[in-house]
Amino acid sequence: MPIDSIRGHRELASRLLAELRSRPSHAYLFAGPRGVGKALVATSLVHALMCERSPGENFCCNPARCPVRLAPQTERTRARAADADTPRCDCCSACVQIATGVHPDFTYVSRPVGRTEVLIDQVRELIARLGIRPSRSPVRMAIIDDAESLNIPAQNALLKTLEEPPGHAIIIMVSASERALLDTVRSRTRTVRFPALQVADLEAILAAHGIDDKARASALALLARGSAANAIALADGDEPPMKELLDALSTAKSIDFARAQSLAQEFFANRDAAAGNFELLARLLEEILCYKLLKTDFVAFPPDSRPKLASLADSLGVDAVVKCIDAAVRATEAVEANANPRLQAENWWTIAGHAMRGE
Amino acid sequence: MAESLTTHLVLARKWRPERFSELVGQEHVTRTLSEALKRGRIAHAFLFTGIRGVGKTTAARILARCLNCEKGPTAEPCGECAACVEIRGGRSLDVSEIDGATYRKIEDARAIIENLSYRPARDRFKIYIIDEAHQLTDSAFNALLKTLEEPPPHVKFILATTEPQKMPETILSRLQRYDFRRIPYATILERLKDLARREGLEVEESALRLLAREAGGSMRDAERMLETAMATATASGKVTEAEVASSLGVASRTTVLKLADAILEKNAAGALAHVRELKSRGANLESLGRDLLETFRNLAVAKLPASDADSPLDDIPDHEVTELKRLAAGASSRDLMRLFRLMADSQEQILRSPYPDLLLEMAVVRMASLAAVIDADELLRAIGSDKTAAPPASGTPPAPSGGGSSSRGAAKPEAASKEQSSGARRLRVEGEVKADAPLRHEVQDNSPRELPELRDFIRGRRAALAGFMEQGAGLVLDGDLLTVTARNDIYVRYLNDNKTVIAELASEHLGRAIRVELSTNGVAKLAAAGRATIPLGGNGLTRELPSAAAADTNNPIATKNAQKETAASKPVEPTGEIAPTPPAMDAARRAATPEERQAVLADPAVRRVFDTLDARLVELRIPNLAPASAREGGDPESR
Repeated sequence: MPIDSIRGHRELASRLLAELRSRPSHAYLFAGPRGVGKALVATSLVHALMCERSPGENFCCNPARCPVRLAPQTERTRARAADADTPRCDCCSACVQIATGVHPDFTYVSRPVGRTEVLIDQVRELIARLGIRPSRSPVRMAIIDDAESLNIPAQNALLKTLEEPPGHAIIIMVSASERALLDTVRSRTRTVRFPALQVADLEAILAAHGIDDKARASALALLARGSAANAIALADGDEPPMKELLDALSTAKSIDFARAQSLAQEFFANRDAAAGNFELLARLLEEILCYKLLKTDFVAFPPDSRPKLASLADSLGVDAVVKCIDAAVRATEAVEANANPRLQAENWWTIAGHAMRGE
Repeated sequence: MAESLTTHLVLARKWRPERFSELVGQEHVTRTLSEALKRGRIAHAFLFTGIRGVGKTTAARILARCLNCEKGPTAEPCGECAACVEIRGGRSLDVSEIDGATYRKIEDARAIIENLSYRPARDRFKIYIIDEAHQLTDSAFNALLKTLEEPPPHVKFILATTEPQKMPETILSRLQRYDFRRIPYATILERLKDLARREGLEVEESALRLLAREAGGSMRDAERMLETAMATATASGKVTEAEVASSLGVASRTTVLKLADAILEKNAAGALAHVRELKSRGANLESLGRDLLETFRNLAVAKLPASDADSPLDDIPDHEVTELKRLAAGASSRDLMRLFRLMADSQEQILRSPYPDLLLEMAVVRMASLAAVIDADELLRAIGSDKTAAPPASGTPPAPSGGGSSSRGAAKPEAASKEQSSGARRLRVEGEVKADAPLRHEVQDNSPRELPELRDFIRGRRAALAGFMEQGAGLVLDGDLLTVTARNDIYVRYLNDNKTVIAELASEHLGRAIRVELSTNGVAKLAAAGRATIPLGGNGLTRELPSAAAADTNNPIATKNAQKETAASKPVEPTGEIAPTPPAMDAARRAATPEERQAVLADPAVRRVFDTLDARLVELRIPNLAPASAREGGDPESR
C-alpha cells in the first residue's frame, strides 16, 4: 500500500490522488520545508497514475522495497543497480521506468549536479516534450524538482505552459520556498502546502532507517525540525552539540567575554556550523518559551536534559527568552548574509547574557 | 480515467471571458478599445500591462477576435464565424500567440519579421500576440523596433507583460499602452459567486469572501483558489470557510480575530498557542502575519467614529465588524497603533527571514506582553497630583541658571520642575534639548601642582586612559578623593570601567590611598558650555529639562556601584559654580530605600516614561511629608 506508507502526508496524498483522478489541475506547486517528503508524494502520485498493474493508491512499486528507487540517482549507481546481483523488484515495467527516469511519458527535471540553478534549456526541453502526445499512459506527467532554484528566465519560459499546457499534461513543481517563485508562476499553479513532519512520524522514519535506539531516535527527530532529510542526515553524521549548548545557556547569565569567545570558537567557527547552531539555540529557546507560556513538557528531549531545561526555563523571564530568540534569528540571517560567524556568536552570547540578567 | 484526466479544465481556462463585456474590472480598457474599434481608429501595436491574472492575455485574445471577426472589425465579435472559432481554439493561422519568455532570442524576432510581408491567409489582419514580452532579449527588442513603428497595414501587434519596466523605452514609446488594474474585491467576489453558481457548487459566503480577499486583486488567483477549495470539498458538498482556509494554508478570519483578541488581552500564552497550532497545520505564516497586520489596521479603523469607519470597513461582513468593534473598545487607539507598528516591523522581517515561524511567534509574544501606553497627559496629571503632597515651592526662582542634560544619567527633571511654577512642571516634548545656561568653563583643579604631575604620570603608564581623561574629564583632587568629572556619556562609561586603574595609578603616584569618584556633573556644564542640543531617544521625542536644580547636586553615574558610593560620600561641591540645592528640598525629601526603588521601577507607568525618554533611574527621592502616597504611587522624582 504505497500511498499509505507515506509518513505524515497520507491524507494529503490520497486526497491529491482523488483529485487527480476526478478533476485535476494541470499544474501543481508542492511547497513546504526541505525534506518533508514533497518529491516523494509527487513521484508516488506519478506511480499511482501510471502504474500498469494496479493503478491507484496501491501502485505496485513499493519505495521501501524497491532497489531502483532507493538507489541514488547517479549514473554509476544506476549502472550498478542494473547488475545481475541486485535484487529484482516485482514492480510493473511502467513503475520501473518511472523509478529509473526513462518512462516515455514522465519527465523529471531537477537541478543538475554541480549547478545552483535549474536551467532554461532544461525547461525548454521539458516544454517540448510536454507537447508530444503520451505514448504509454493516458497522461504525460512532469515533475520539476528544486523549483525554487529555477532561474528567472526559466520561470518565465514556463509561464505559458503552466497556464495552458497541452490537454494531456500535468506538471508538478516541487519547491522548498514559495517566495523563490514569481507571482506569475504561483498564480498559475494549484499550491499544495506540506507541513513539517511530526516528531512521531520522524521517529518512525528513523526507525525504518535503522536507528533502533529509541532515545536517540527521538532526540534526532526533535533536532530534525520536521524534516526527514535532516533527521537522516543527522543520524548519519555528527550529532549537533545540543547538550553543550544547553550547558552554555544554563551558565549564560554569568557569561563573560572570554567564555563567549571560546564558545564562538568552538561552535560557531565556520558558516555552516554557526548557522546550524544558531538555529539550534533558537529552537531550544523556543521550547523553553513554550514551556513557560504553554506549560508544554520537554517530551521530545532526552530525559537527562529535561531537568536542566526546566530549571533554565524557570530562571528566565519571557522577555529575556524573546530577546535571545530574536537575536539568534538575526544572527543566523547575518551569518547567511556573509557576516563573520564568530563575531556574531560573541555578540549573541553577550546579548544573551545581558538579556538573562535582565539588563 | 483517461477521459477525466484530459477533459477537465480549470476554472480560469473554462470560463475565460470571450467578450469585452465579460472582462470585469477593466472597464477603462475595454471601453477605450471598444470605442476605438467602433470608430475604426485602431492602433497597430498595443501593450497590455498589469499584475498576474487581471486579464491581459484574455483581452489580447478578445481583441484579436474583434479585429478578425468576419463581421468586424467590431467590438462585439460574433463568436460563430470561422475566424472567431479558430482563434478561440488557438488554431488560427493568422493569429500567432508567441511565448515571449521561451522564444526570446533575436532569431525568434527575425522569424516574425520575415513573415510579416506575407498577406494574412484568410482573415483581415495578421496578429501577433507576444505574451510575457518583458523576457525578450534586448537584441530581440531592437530587431523589432522598426517593425513596431511601421508594420505593414495588415499586421497588428499585441504585447502583454507583467513587468513593463523591464522593456526598453524605445519599445514602450511605439506601443499604445493599456494598464490593467488590480480587480476590486467586490468585483472578484461577484465573479466568484457567479462561477460557483455556474459550477453548481455550494460555497459559504464567508468562504468566498476569504477567497476574494486572498486573491489580492488577481482574478486568476481567485479562480485557482476556488478550484482548490472545490477539490478539497467535493466530499462534503458545501464548501465552508474552514475548508477554504485550510486548503489555502491561511488562517480563517475567526482564528485571526482570536489571535488578535489574545494579544489585546495580554494573553501571551494564548497567542503563542494559536500561532503554533497554525504552524503545525502547515499554514502560510507570511500570510498570517499579513492578516494580523490587517486586523490591527481594521481595529484602529473601527476605533474611529462610526461615520468615518463605515467606508474603510465595508469590505468586511457585519458580524466581523461587530467583533472588531468589541475588540477595539477594549484597547486605546494608541495601543492599537503601537501594535500595528510592531507587527508591521515584524512582518517586514518575516518576509525576509528564513525563519518566519520563530519571528512570528516572537512578534505575538512581544505584542501580548507590551505594557499599556500611558497617556502623557495622564502621566503628568499623576505626577502633578503627587506634587500636592510635596512641600510647596520654596521660592526657587525659575531662573535658567544652569541646565542641560544628557541622554542618560545626568537628568533630574521632575525634582526641579516640581519646585517651580506650574508652567515649568509640564514635560515639554519638543525637538531638542537646549541648554541656555551661562557659559562656564572647565571644572577647576583644586591642586594645580599635583594634578598635572598625576596626569603626566598616568600618561606615562596608560596613554589611552590619560588621553581620555584629558579630553573628556576634569579632575578635582580633594585630599584622598579624586573626583573625575566626565564630559559625556562615552567618557563616563570608559572612565567608569577604568576607575580602579585610575585609583591604583593615583595612589601609586601620590603615595597615599586615593579614592576615585566619578561625576557626570561636567556633562551638564560642558553641554552648557557648548550650548549643546542633545536629541534624545529614537522616536524624535525629547524633553526639555528644567534648569536650576537639575545640575546642582552632583549627579553620580548611573551604575548601582556609583550610586551606593555616592550615597555614602558627601557629594563634591564643584566650587560654587552653580546655585546650591534649595535647602527646602533636602529637608523635604529623603533618599529612597532599595525596596522603594524596585517598586518605582516596576511601575509600568514609570517604565514607560523611561522607555520613551530613554532614561535611567539614577537617584530617587521621596517626599518626607507623604511617604505613604509616594510608596503607593511610585514617583520617579529624579533621574
